[in-house]
Amino acid sequence: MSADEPLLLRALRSAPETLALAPLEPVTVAVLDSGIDGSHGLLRGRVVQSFSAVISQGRAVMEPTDPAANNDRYGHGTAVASILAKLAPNAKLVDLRVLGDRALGTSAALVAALKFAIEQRFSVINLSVAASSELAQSLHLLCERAYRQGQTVVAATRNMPLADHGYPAELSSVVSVDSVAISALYAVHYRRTHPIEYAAAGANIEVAAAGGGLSTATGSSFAAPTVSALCALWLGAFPGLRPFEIKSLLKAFALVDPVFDDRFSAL
Amino acid sequence: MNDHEAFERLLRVDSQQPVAAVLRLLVELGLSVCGGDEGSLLLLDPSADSLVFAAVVGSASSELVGQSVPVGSGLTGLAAVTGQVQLGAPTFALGGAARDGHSPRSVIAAPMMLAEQCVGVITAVAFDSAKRFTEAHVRLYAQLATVGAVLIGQQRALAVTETADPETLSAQRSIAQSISRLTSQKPEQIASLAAMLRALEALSLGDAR
Repeated sequence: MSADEPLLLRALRSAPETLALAPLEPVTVAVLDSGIDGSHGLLRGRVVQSFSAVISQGRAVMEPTDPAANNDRYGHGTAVASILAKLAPNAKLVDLRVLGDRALGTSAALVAALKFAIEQRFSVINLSVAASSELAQSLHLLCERAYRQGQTVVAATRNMPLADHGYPAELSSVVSVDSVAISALYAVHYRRTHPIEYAAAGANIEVAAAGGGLSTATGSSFAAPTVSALCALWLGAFPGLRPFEIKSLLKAFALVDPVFDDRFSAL
Repeated sequence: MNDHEAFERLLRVDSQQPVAAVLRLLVELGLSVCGGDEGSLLLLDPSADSLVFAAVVGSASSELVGQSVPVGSGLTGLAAVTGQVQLGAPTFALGGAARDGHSPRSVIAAPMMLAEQCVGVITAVAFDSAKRFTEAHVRLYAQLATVGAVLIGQQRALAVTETADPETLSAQRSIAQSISRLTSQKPEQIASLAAMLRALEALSLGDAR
């Protein structure tokens, strides 16, 4: 292996599951969700920073919170974070709480948190939430900026039958993820004819429960962190990989999802 | 608050009316297909930022109707806040024992989304330890909740029409017809028309917002 060899070619020779056992550089992964229970046994010491979106003088701002405390009111973010922590030992989790006590204002919170994550240059940004199309333009601009800065945004698709798949998952500058009923931990499916390009295990996944203990979770929300973990592993082993290279690696190691394969699309 | 008050105050429909009956039917249909033990319809009370049980099918019907659940907690609250169907499971201690033997074993909460806003949640609960709802059930509940939301949207539109006076109705019809003519005959002007209407709306509602 030559040091001058392009990163992508070197990365292509390393299966993701083997990387998890190798020495890796730490990679910051921002989790925009309902908060993380940093006191949970499976997450203790893994959450390095914690912030919560609050409305101040009519606008959403990120306020620091204690990363070692339980900042999760719903348990969703803790579940997502525990998948990331398990699959990517080098992931340094940054808790960005955007799902608050009140339903109102969450759009502003999501945009503020994503902007914050981009400004802070967190390497990977996991969004297991899907916003409505009214945020499409704001999220598009932010995700373009993240892409150009070399940050990888991973977004889960939504599971409601609406006109779109949810934002930012609809955007081509992000890695969009659906769930599939497979059990292999690091496996990813590729869907070349679908706007949501990738799918990972998302059924009955064992996760940490906020407040302690374990639970199981199902849905695209819990498939996205598998892909974010893969990004963290590759970036830890090959710092400097760009988002398009990460997408190429995902495709290179992915299985073709038969449901979305071109060969079946004409049926 | 009982079911009649919940439907009346939060949906502006009599609980005996077909809309309420069809919403209850959605809950019953979902429950019978997925094999759950208890199903419910909760309506959003924006003034209290809570979800109110308006209809319950199953064992605890009479106790739950009228009770509130804060939007800031639980699986129903999470469904309302995220606008996504949530599938929940019980929590286990690290050793594998159930934390609470009487808690639900599997829960689905599907938000009813109307113009990107949640107006309520449909749920299904199973208490059988062997029962687990699946992604197929999630898809079913997403569809049932969407039907429920469409129904509520039509009911609200109808309520506006029924309460408006004839003069207002005539003016509204006239505006709609003008816009329809203009957009069909001059489609290239749709964008500027939309901008003009938004500006007019901002000007008219500026003080109220």
